[in-house]
Amino acid sequence: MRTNNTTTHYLKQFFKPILISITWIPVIITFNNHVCFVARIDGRSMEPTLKSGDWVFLWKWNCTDINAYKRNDVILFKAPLNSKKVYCKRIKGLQYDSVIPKNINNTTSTDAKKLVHIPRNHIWCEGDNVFHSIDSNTYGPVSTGLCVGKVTKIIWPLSRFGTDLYESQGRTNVLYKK
Amino acid sequence: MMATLGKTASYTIRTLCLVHLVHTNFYEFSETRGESMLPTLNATGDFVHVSKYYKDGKKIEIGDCIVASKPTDPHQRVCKRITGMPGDIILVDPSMGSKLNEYSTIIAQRIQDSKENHIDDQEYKELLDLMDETSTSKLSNFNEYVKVPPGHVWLTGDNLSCSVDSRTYNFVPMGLIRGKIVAANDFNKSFNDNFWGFRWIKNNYFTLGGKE
Repeated sequence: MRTNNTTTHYLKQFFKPILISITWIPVIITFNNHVCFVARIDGRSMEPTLKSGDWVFLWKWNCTDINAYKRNDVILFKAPLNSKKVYCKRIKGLQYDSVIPKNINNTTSTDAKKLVHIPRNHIWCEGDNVFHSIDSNTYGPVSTGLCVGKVTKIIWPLSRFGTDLYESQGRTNVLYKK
Repeated sequence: MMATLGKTASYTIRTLCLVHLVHTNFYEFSETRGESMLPTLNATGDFVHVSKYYKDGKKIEIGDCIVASKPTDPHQRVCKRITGMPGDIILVDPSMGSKLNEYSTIIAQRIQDSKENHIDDQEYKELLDLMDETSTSKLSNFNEYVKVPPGHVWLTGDNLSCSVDSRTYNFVPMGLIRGKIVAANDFNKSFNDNFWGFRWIKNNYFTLGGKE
C-alpha cells in the first residue's frame, strides 16, 4: 500500500546515513591510535611548560621507533610501574647515552659508578618540574615500546596556543660526556 | 569509473581498519617460530590463538603464556611464560652457577693438562689469573635473587636452555604485554588429527598452601 512504502522510505532515509557513519568509526579509531590525537595533561610534573588541564596535540606515527625521537622532545608513555596510567615527560637521554641521575638529595654526582647507561631502544625521561616529578630517576630507562606519542603543540587554553615547548627544558647537565 | 574506484577504496579502508581493530583489541591468530617454548609450542608450523583481552597485563596470572614486545626491540614480539608476578622474589638462573658451566673449571683442567706437559711460569701465572677472573663469585649475576618491581613481570621460555628471556633482558613492564595465548594449532598435523592438532594452552601453575 502506498502509505507503507513512504514510511519505509523515510525510515531508510533516516537510518542509512547513521549506519554508514557507524562503519567509518573503526577508521577514525585507527587514525586516532596510529596517526594523531589529542590528550589532556594532568599533574604538575611538566610545569612551567605544560600545566594541569592543558590539551595538547599528540603525534602518534611510528611512536615505538627510537629514531622518531630527539633529545628534549616531550612524549607520552605508559607508566612502567602501572600499565593503566600514561605519563608525560621530556626525553633527556636516548639509547646508548650515559646519564647522571638526580640522586635522592637532589644533587648530582659525576661519580662513574652512579652513571646509568641506557640500553638499546630505551629512553631516559624527566619532568621539567625537577622537584615534583616521578620519572626515570625513580624507575630507570623506559622502553620505547611503552611510548604512546610525541607532544607537538598545545591547543588549549587558547592563550597558550602554540607555545614553544623547548623554551624551558628542565634539568640540564644530564648527559655524561667524557 | 572513478566513482566505483572510490567506492572500492572506501570499502577496503573501512574493512582493513575494522580487521586491524579486532586484531589489536580482541583476537589474533598468527604463526610462532623458535624453539624457546618447546614442548608447549613447536619450533615451526605452530599457530597460536591470542586473546587481546589480557593486553597490558590485565588479569594476568603467574604461569600464563603471553605475547609481549621485546623491551630491547619493540618491533619484535616474543611468546613466553610468566614465571614471576610483581612482588615475587626470583632466583635468576641457578644453572649458570653450576661448576660444569664455569669457565674457571675449564681453565683448571687446562692447567692440569699443562702441568703434565710442562708449561713455563709466565703462562701458568696467566692461566691462574684467568681462572680467578672468571670464577663464579666475580662474574655471576645469575646466582642472585631479585624482586619483581610493581607493574613488571618475569618471563621465561619453557625450553630454558634455548631461550632468550628475562634472564637476559631483565623485567618486562606489563605495558609491553600484547595478549595471552589461549590455544594453539599445529599445521604439521593433518586436519583429521583433532582439527590440525588443536589444543588449549593451559596454565599448570598452582601455589603450595597459598592463597585461596
